[in-house]
Amino acid sequence: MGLEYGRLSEGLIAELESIVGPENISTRAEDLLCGSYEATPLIECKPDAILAPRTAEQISEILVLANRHRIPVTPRGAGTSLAGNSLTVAGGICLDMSSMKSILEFDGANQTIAVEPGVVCDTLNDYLADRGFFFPPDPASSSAATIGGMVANNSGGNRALKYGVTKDHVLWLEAVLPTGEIVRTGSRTLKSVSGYDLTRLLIGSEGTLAVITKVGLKVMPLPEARAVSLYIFDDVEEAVRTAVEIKSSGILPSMLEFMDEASSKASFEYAKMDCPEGCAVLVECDGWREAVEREAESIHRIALRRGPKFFERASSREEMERLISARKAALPALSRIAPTIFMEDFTVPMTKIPEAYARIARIPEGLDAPIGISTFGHIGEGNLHPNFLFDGSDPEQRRAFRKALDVLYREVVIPLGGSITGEHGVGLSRGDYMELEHGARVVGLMREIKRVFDPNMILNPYKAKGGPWPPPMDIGGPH
Amino acid sequence: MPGTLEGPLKAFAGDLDKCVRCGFCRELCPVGDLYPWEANFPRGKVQLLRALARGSLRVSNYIVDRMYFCTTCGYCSKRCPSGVRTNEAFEAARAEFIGLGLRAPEGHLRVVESVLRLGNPFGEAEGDRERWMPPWLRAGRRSKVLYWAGCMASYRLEETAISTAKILNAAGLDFTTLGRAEGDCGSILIRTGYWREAERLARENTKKFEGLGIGTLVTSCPGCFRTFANDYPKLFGIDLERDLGLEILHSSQLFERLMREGRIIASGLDMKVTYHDPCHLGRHMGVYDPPRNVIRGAGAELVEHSKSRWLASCCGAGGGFRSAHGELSLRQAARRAGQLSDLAVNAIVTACPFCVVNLRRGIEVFGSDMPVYDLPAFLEGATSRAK
Repeated sequence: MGLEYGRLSEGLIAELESIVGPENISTRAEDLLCGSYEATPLIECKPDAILAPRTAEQISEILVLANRHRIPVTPRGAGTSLAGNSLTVAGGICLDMSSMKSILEFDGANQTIAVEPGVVCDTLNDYLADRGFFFPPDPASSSAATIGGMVANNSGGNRALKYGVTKDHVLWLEAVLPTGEIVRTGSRTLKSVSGYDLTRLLIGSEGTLAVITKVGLKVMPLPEARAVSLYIFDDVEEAVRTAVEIKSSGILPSMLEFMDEASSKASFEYAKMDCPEGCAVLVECDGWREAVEREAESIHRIALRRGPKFFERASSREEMERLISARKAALPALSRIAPTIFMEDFTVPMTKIPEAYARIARIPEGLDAPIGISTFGHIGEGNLHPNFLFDGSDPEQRRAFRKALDVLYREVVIPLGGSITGEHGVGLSRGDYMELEHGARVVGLMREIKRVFDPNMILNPYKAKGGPWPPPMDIGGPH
Repeated sequence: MPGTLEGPLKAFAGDLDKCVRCGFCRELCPVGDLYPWEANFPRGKVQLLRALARGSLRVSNYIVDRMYFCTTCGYCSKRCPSGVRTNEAFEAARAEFIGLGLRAPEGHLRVVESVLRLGNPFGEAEGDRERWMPPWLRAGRRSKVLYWAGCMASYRLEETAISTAKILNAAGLDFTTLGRAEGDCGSILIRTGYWREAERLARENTKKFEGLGIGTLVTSCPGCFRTFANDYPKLFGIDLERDLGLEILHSSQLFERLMREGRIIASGLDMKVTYHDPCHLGRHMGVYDPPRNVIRGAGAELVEHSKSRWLASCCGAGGGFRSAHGELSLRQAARRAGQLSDLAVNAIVTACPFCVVNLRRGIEVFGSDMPVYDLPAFLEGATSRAK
């Protein structure tokens, strides 16, 4: 089912220009190209105009105008999404939120902070660290990802095992509805159960229900100590089972990460680390110094029983950061070995990880073209990222990749009781599998919610929970 | 205008294709942060160049301007997990455009024309270049070491050149300068894409070195250092080390060596300082420790900022950005100066006269009176104390 949209005429562009100012709007081919992509490979969709608003009031005016003329509007943070979440599939307006990047109010006593959506995650954490606090969600793209984008996608990251994901740290939101009203959801207090939880509804809605313009976060005191250890195994099963045993031992690490041989090799090369090749398990504990020491020792004993060929415990803050940044760079570092990397993002119950991993490893056997797979992920949360490695310029390999995705979701993830996405979102690439996971009635409810918020379907059309989704994702060659 | 690029950018086609658009390079990009528009970030620039290479976009003034909207700080190249040589590609793109007969944007062009006409970017008279030289220092003398003061230290930050000469003299070094004949190293021409003109300068400079019998070339300015040591061989095939047997050093490296040999006696600086890594010395040339060792050797306590070494933010002056975008450059300088002055230190030390000048302006705008020293002046203070 296609949606009918209006055209962004010259007259409308002039009206938009009067709202944001001439320096904050562009229809130049060069800028449209720069708004046509994100970190998702192979898919590019050009908007008709890019706007960089500065205030909620400007966004309200833009949306009133867009709603009246049925012009699609797609908000965008740093463009680091991996499922086509911020791509302007139906053209229209790309709302680049990067310029709204002020830290508005920090309240140390109540451990809260209010920020604009364009604040970058690491920038926020630099600010908080100076004051003895931190914001725990830590996606691999934290150096670029914006808080608005993280809220809209309910980002997770490396520390979700202990600290949860973005939704666990958001108290309130200011957002502009597609019809132009500026609303505030949630409460400044840590507890509030008055009414439906619209804050949680907007979190993870991928810009399909409202445009987030302010975010109230709760922050946490920085732990006194951290311990980061790396274990490398020859055998993937030993690595996976080590992680499962650590998780099941009663210890709650702040990070429990896995990288198979190909991804660890690429990551360590990037970080200029002299480590042997093999499958890596990276563990971080944090908390009071004495507790961290005990936890790190227990983890070490568990890992040694599985016979790692190499282990290293970071002895300084710099070494800890180096190990973690190597893990964070796993995806882009893989580009060193294949021209196209499509990253998937499923979750299964932690104990099903060995079975899931084994099934994934067999996927290429049933394909008509060579597709490589390299897997890393947040193993502690049962959240793996199989990366399909291929040459996106070859139509046969693209078709084989489509088939691999189908096998992954229909024969691995759903039968093992998992979810099609743990933290990257449905975006453009996973709409086909929504009913498989949730059933038609629940997906129908989601569509009805979308209609309540956005009767003209102008916000980020064809995405996420709101559907309708476009026909099976058209993975074209690069433009 | 050709769509497919055949000049210096051609060598980067493979790099451009390696970009997976992860956006990691958005972090710390000084110009992107000043004006967060995707085309200003390295990822956007890479995608524009990729489109040019594939012929899906044609060269436009807007694209040219974007490539010049960059301080060439090199953070993006170091950060890129996919190994894309972003900074080098942007510099090559500038040269590509100039090779196609286009012109650099107005602000950059002004300094280029000054370099070509007067041998310095400031519009200063050539004869004034040796204004800083003390009477006891003779230019053009056969010596073991040639001190290349550079334009910034000669015309705008004489304290750097004067202190360097005093330190080298006190260390008993057999050194000389080129005086008014020094001229420009070519850094600005290279950074702004005027590679043909830069090569001519490089050949002229090589001739100047030949007759002096020198074994070591030492510079105050990291830009000159990078140009002689890296750009001459890479871009023009002029390898001063191989062809003339020259050892090329930044002054911080020479100071460190002289301290180790006991020829510079410095001590007793009872102060806490932080060190700002100049982009061309740190990220581009990998020189991080010598200036730090000199600071510690002078008795000062060094306090590191979390954004230091390869993570150091740019002062905002590089790549012609200061000349072309004065106000934005100053905003970046104020931000960097503010970061550093938030530390509990008595002073900021750096090892680049460009950084000193920009950070001093920045610290004023930030509203602090913290002193900013170039390493030679800082060290000279410590050597005076040691006497």
